[in-house]
Amino acid sequence: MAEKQQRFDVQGYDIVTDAIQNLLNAFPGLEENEEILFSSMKEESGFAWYPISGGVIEDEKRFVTGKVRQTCVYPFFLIYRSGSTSPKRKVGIKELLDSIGRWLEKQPVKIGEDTAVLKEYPSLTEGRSIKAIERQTPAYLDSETENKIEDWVIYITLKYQNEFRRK
Amino acid sequence: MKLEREALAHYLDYSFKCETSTATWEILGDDIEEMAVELNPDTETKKNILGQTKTQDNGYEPSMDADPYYADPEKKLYPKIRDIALNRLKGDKCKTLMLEVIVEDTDAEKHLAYVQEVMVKPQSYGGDNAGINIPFNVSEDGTRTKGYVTAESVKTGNPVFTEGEITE
Repeated sequence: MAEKQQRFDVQGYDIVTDAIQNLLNAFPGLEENEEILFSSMKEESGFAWYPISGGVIEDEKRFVTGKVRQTCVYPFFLIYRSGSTSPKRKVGIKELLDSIGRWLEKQPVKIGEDTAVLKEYPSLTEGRSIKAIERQTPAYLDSETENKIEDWVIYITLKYQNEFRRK
Repeated sequence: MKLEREALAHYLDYSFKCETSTATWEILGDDIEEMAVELNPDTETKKNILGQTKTQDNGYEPSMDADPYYADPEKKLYPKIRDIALNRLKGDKCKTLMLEVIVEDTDAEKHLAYVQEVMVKPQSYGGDNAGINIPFNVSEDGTRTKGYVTAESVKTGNPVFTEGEITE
């Protein structure tokens, strides 16, 4: 049986990418001056996120009014790179990534003495709207170099809808 | 060339006043992948003593199901559908007008249309976690009037119906 060819929401790539970038950096548990970068990491340290493919069109429905609704999935990795070998530091990195993941899922997250909850997802433009963000894995140690530089990773997917009228 | 499905549009008058001149239309089908007016022709075949089969045509009993119809407070029709369902309304309180428009030529200034007196009856409410679904049935309940709508008014989302034949 022939494999179904993947289709992509190419026009939505920039819109959704900007939204994820802003949302990740709105996490209240980030340190002051700490920033999650887009696809950019130094050799020995860094905190960044990397899209895997952009918005994949998972499902498309066409309604009798001519309206089309696409359900799209935008998978990405969030990566924390550190050279620290301290077990306490490693636990802290894993907890930070898991906390970001839970927060993106709109679950309550303990930050210091406070509890933070993401109340609503940012609105998108051009007929797109975020429906859900879900962790696909817990945070895990993905790789370690000879120099003990470690990449801790969490894999997350953002599901959104794109509605338009086909001309 | 065959017409696309969206060339046939159905609207309901959400004022429920049953008055064509003041009707305010909202299109049906934004979440519906398939919707049809079932004509339900009523015919009987009989064989006469000559061995001929004759068909008695008793007309049609048209009806249409709008399913799914998700509760959306931003939709103008929603409060009426909600009230009929939750208050178990019947009779005249379920009557309104339906506008059918068929766009056979997108460049034309006027499109063939019909206004039909109908009765709207919700069938259930609730459903799965996709939303609050209140599917309803629309059945003919009176006069059918032939006319047209202007292409310009269709684009506004609130078509203006005029009785009569389309003249160039």
